[in-house]
This record gives sequence, structure tokens and C-alpha cells, in this order.
Amino acid sequence: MTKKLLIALFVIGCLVPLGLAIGYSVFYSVGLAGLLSSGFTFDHWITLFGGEFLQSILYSIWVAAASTLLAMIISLTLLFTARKLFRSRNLYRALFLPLTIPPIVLAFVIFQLYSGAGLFSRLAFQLGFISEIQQFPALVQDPYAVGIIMAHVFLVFPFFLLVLLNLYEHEKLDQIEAVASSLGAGKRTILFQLQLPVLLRGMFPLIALYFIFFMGAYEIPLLLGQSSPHMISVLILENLQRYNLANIPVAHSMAVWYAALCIGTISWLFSRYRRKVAL
Amino acid sequence: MSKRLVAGFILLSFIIPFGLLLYLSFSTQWHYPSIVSHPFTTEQWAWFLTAGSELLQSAGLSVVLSLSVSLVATTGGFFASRAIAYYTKSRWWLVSAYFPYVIAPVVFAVMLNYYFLQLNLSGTLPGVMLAQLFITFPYAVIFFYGFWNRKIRDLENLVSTMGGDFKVVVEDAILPSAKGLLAVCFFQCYLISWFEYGLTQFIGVGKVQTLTIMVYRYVSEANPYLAALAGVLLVLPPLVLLFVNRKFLLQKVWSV
Repeated sequence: MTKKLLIALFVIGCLVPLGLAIGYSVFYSVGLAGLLSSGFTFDHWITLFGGEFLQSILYSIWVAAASTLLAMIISLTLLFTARKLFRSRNLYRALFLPLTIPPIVLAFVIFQLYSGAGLFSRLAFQLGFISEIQQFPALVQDPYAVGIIMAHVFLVFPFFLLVLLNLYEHEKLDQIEAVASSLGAGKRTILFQLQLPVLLRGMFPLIALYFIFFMGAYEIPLLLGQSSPHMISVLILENLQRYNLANIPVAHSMAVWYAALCIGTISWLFSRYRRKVAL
Repeated sequence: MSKRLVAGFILLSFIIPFGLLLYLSFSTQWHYPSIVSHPFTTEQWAWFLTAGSELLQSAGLSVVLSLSVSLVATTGGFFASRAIAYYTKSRWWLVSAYFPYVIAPVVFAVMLNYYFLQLNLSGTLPGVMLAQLFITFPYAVIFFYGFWNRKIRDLENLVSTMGGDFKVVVEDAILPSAKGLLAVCFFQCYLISWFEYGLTQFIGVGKVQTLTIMVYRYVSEANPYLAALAGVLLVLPPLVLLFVNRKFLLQKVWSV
């Protein structure tokens, strides 16, 4: 009896809300629910692929890919060039600092650092690099999402580095390096054919997960993103809160596609990685 | 030398955001192009500490909300994960716990909002609590899943064989082994709730004014000084947790 109750608790707390949420949005998006429902139609889904949704998806993919890639490059570079530094307890502990900043606060801080009137613009002015505020490059609310990407990288690269440091130790990569070196392997061979493949295989699920998280990011793009195109979460909210009620089914269609993408990716990850993964 | 430079650069890049937040919270003017504008003032902090200030109320509300959410999510997730680990065979039970967790909370809120409106939970504290539980509960299930291993099961069987009922099994076999993890999960759920903005804003329709909502409100009102103060208040608890035990901030979540 207790068993069934506990499983029911999981179903009620986890699966039912998800099912209800997706169900309602699917119904809304095909015209079977909502204030202006006019019967079954795929019109709202078709509208998606001709408008800002595709632009937004591409923009979100760009931001997520650039953020994840940059965070990985920085953490891998630090791992291979300055690994010994992190044996210092204080520096290792410092890697946890970015984890203490909520995204909305980080977005605010990045704005105060990199906007035209921000700290770095002031520094550039004081050092004589610029003579007026307009000369400072647009690093926030810019077309290439530089501000958003910087915020994401700041949040995640220390975490990636922490995982990589643990993985490096766990996989005994320094010993592998010593053995390979004694067998005559060069530094490049050891790095690209031994160490990197092991690390990337271990990190892949985490990278995929963060790619999804970044694609759906809301708070940071809300403050640091430009007015168009929007990241997908911001676009969904904007469509929902516009005065035109006809946009609501479109917002639900976007939400359905986005949720399907998240669920599909996670399912694929778990089907591919049957063994323990470093999530 | 260059490694020291790297270390210094990393430390500086981590410290500058905190320094800027703190600086702005003690300032009322930061005119371009000055790097530091005087005077420094404790005006905002004094206002915050005044009984009845909206930011103090907001901080109190955030604490109550996050404590309640993390308590329920940790307790529920702990026992639900036991049921999933012991009594289900398909790994898709666990995988399904990841689904609500990976969808952006604000999008999840959009999809769920209809039900909150129907139940008159939209714009209420219980509504926001429930909505946050829909994210933290699956997280707790995922977190605890790996705890239910062969060793714990053997321990439970031992206590049962000696005549202990489920209550005794929980008190004498499970809880002593799980104490540390329960604390870690509690604080991680606390942080998920404490950091949450999008879902809280959407389900709370701006009426449930947690600290994250206040940060955005002050930013929208072009008041970076109060936004910074609210930011400092948001950053303080995680910093304390980091100081006490960094595991409270980051713990590898087990998986299948």
C-alpha cells in the first residue's frame, strides 16, 4: 500500500503536472482550447515556421552553442595549462563563487559592467581609450548576444572546470600521459588522441544538458538581450503577453515545440548513455 | 609568473561582480565617467532594515517560500525516489523526472498557468509554492535516486528482520545514513527556489514579490542602487552556504 502511495506521489508531483501542461498547450495550439478556439487547426503550427519563431530558435541555438563552446574552451585551456594552480584550496574554492549568483543578479551586474555607462566603459574613458560614451562598443543588448554569452560563460565555466578537474583525476589522465609518453607518444598525440576524447566523452551529457538550459534561458536574455530576435523563452512570454489575443495559440505552439525538443534531447541522451553519466 | 597572473585574473573576475554589487548598494549616485562617485551612504541599508520596508518584507517572504518549498520537496523527493528505486523496473521512471527539470521554468509556468487560474492559485503565495515544487520535487527525486543502493537495502532488511516496522526502519536505518544528503538536497532545493525568477513572476503575476522580482522591478525603475541591495541580499545566503560547506552548492547528482 505504502509502495503504491509513494509511486502515486511521484506521479502526482512530477508526471501529472507535466502531462497537464503539455496537454493544455497542445490543445491550445491546435485550436481545441482557449478563448478564441475555433475548432481543430494546424494553422498556428504552420505560422510558426514562417515567422520569428525560426529566427528565435536559430538565435537561441547560436547563444547556447557559443556559450557552451566558449565555456568548454576556457575550462579545457585552464585544465591543461594551469591545472596545478587549482591545488590551492582557496583558488579551488573560488571556483564555487559564480554558483552563488542568481541569473537575474548576474544579468544586472553584467549590464553594470559592460554597458555604455558601465564600469569598463568608465575605465576605458579614464585610460584615454575612448573620449565619449558612444565610442564604447555595444556589449550588452547587442545583435550578437555578446552580453548574454558572457553571462552564461561566467556562470558555467567554473562549474565545467570543477567537473573536468574531477574527471581528470578520476580517469587518471596524468598516469595515462606518463605511460603514453614513455611509449614515445608526442604531446599533441597524448592531448588529442588520449586525454581530450576521454574528457569530452565524460562531459558530453553535461554539455548537452547545459545547451538545453542555455537555449531556454530567460532572466539573462530578458535584461541583456536585444529587442529582436528574442531568445525562445522571452519570445514565448512576449507572444503571450501581447495585447493581440491571437498570439496566445502561437505562444502555446512555440512552448509545445520547445518542450518536445527538451524532452526529446533528454530521452536521446539517456538512451545513448545507459551507464552512469556525469550529470 | 604567468600562472600567478592567470590565478589573479580568475580571482579578480570573480570578485569584481560582488564588489560592484556591494559598492552600488552603498551608493546613491554613480555618474559617468567617474569610477567611484562619492558619497558612500548607508541610506539604503538603513531603509532596508526599517521595520515594514518592502525589501525587508520581500526578504522575509523569500525565506519563508524557499524554506517551505525545499522542506516539502526534500521530504517528498526522498521517499518518492525510494519507491522509484525499489519498486519500479523501467529506468524511464527516473528519466521522466528530468523532463520538468529541463524545460525552462518560465515556459513550464506558461503551460501550467491555466490550471493555476482555474484553482485561483495565480498571484498567491501557495500558487507560487506549488509551481516551484513542480521543479524542485523532480530535482530531489533525481538527487536521491542513487542513495537507494544495495547497502541501504540490506540495512533496511536487517532492521525489518529484527522486528522493526517501517517507522523504525526509517528512524534507525535510513535517516542516520541519509542525514548529510538530506541537508545537501534541502539547501540545493532552497537555492533553486531562492534563485527562481521567471516562474515566480508568471504564476505570482507580480503580486508575490520575492527578492528576484524586486531586483527586476528596481532595474525597470532605473534604480540600480536598490537593485544592487536586493542583489546583495540574494547572494548572501549562498555565500554563507559556500563558507559552511561547498557541497551545499554543488553535489554531483547521481544518474542511472
